[in-house]
Amino acid sequence: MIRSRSLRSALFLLTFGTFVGSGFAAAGAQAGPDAVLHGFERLGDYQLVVGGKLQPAAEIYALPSGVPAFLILSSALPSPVLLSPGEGSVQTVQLMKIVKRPNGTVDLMADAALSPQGKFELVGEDVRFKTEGRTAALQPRPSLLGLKKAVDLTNYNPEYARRAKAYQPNAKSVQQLRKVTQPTRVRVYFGSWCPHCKEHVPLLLKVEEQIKGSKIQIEYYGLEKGLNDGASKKFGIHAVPTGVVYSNGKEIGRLGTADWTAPETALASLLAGK
Amino acid sequence: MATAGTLESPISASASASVPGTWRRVLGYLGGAVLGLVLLLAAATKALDPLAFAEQIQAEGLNGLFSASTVALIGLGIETAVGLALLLGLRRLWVLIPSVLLVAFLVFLTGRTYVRSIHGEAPAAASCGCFGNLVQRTPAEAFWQDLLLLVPPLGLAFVGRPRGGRFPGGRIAAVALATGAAVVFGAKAADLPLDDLATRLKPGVVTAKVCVGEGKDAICLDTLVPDLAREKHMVVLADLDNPAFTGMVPDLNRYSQGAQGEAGQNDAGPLVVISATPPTTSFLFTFGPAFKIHDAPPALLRPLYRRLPRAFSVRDGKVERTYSTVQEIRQALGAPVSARP
Repeated sequence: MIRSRSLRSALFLLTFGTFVGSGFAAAGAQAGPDAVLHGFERLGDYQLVVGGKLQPAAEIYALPSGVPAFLILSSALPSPVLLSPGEGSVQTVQLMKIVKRPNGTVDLMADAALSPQGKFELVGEDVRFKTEGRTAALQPRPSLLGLKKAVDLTNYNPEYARRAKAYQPNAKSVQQLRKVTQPTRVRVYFGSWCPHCKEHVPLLLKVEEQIKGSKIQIEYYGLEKGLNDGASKKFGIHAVPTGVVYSNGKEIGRLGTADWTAPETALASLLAGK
Repeated sequence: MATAGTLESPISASASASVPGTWRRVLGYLGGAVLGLVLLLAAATKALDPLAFAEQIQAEGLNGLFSASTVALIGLGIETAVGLALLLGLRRLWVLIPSVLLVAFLVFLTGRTYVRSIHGEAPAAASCGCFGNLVQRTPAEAFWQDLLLLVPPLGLAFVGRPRGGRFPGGRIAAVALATGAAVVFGAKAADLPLDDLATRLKPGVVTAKVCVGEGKDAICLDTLVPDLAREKHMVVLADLDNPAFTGMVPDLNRYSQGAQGEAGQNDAGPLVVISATPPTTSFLFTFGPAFKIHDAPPALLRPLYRRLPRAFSVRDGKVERTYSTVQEIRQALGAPVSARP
């Protein structure tokens, strides 16, 4: 019997990792991915609690579109759990029928057998369920607040990393930013709870990566839901994300809502005084 | 030589005991007429969308003993009566004193919000989304605009005011009749198909021009959903807590999963759902939407509907058609309409 939690986690990840690394070809030969339950993407909006204990290593996935479904992988649960919003059903699936793709998405195999575990229950914003004798709950994660670095954002929510990776900044604007000679600081006010931030802040994360070593320093400041906190009022933040740009310690402009579709271009224009 | 009666207003020709200078009487009439027009325009807007006015009354805490919709109708009646009386040149004290009270009340309301905003007490727009306190008009703008638009014409309305003379029974009857009509219309308007007329959302509107805020803070429909500028989309404006919308989620799921649109017509394009609040866990897990929900500033959405849900089809950034009832939306989604009213 495995007593150590960390040992169990390691074994779980080893099993999952080994299967991901080498088992897919064999499994794929038997049955391809399920026609519907494939392409699960990892989320950062929720955390898993099992038996009253937070499971920080748990991986929570959701289908980006189509049928609403959440897949939970955790060493604290005997088997991966599939939650189906709308229907309210809780089902388990064999770990060996789950395939992790190189791009980080997860598929269920077409021949995966789902074992019903009853219905989940909504208590406030908690999604509570029982599976194979364990009591568990999905809870919205607490907001990321205060001054943060890029790595804090990507650690908090894998969606940031995924979107940053997919973004191609304008090469000319990036070149312009790399040539900036004045010490420049961009403070990005964002809300980890805000869907627009999830879409747009990652673009700047990618830009930050590409201008590493330049005179431009980018930092992130998480605000509370509702934007009624002291920081929002003090800095006049009406919407998130908002980037406040300082050159030589003095505010010279802001990246507003319309600028976030190509933040590198907006920042380059602002710094060029256009 | 012009008499006081002929200059009391271009409409009436009653005699007056005192005869102020012609220019004073014309100026006075113009002041009253401008104020009257402003009040009538405001009344017309409220009559077309009495629900929005009732919401405003509720938010300001003005409903007291009556329901917000009853107070909305009373307010509509007062504004119509005073506005029309001034436009018809009735500048007697029994018209001007209510005018002063009405203007003072309106300025007080915007002034109170302005003072509260200065002290950080004004409630932000009712949103927990990404756009906390973005508003169409800032409290300061609202206060100064109301002050400048209402107070100078009110002051002018006292200039060259006719005294005595014949009782203007005809004009009073006209005011009473119009006021009654406005109140009846206001009571029925919510159920009349006036959504395109009463809101900013109508066929031909360009989504890139539906904006709130200014400069860097401006947020437009296209900023929120850039896809609207390209090809065809079916957009549903929603209140996620409203049973009329939640009851429609299965239809929206079917549609977004590839169902075709209105029978005999082309698919209305991919589904876009916009709400003033992001979906809660409770909403997501109870109703299981198979579509993405975009959140938008309440100040951007509110001028686009009288009642939610409301939908529209858009092609290349231009609104083609609006759907203002649940039945119309369900029909556009290709759902059987007989199942639910």
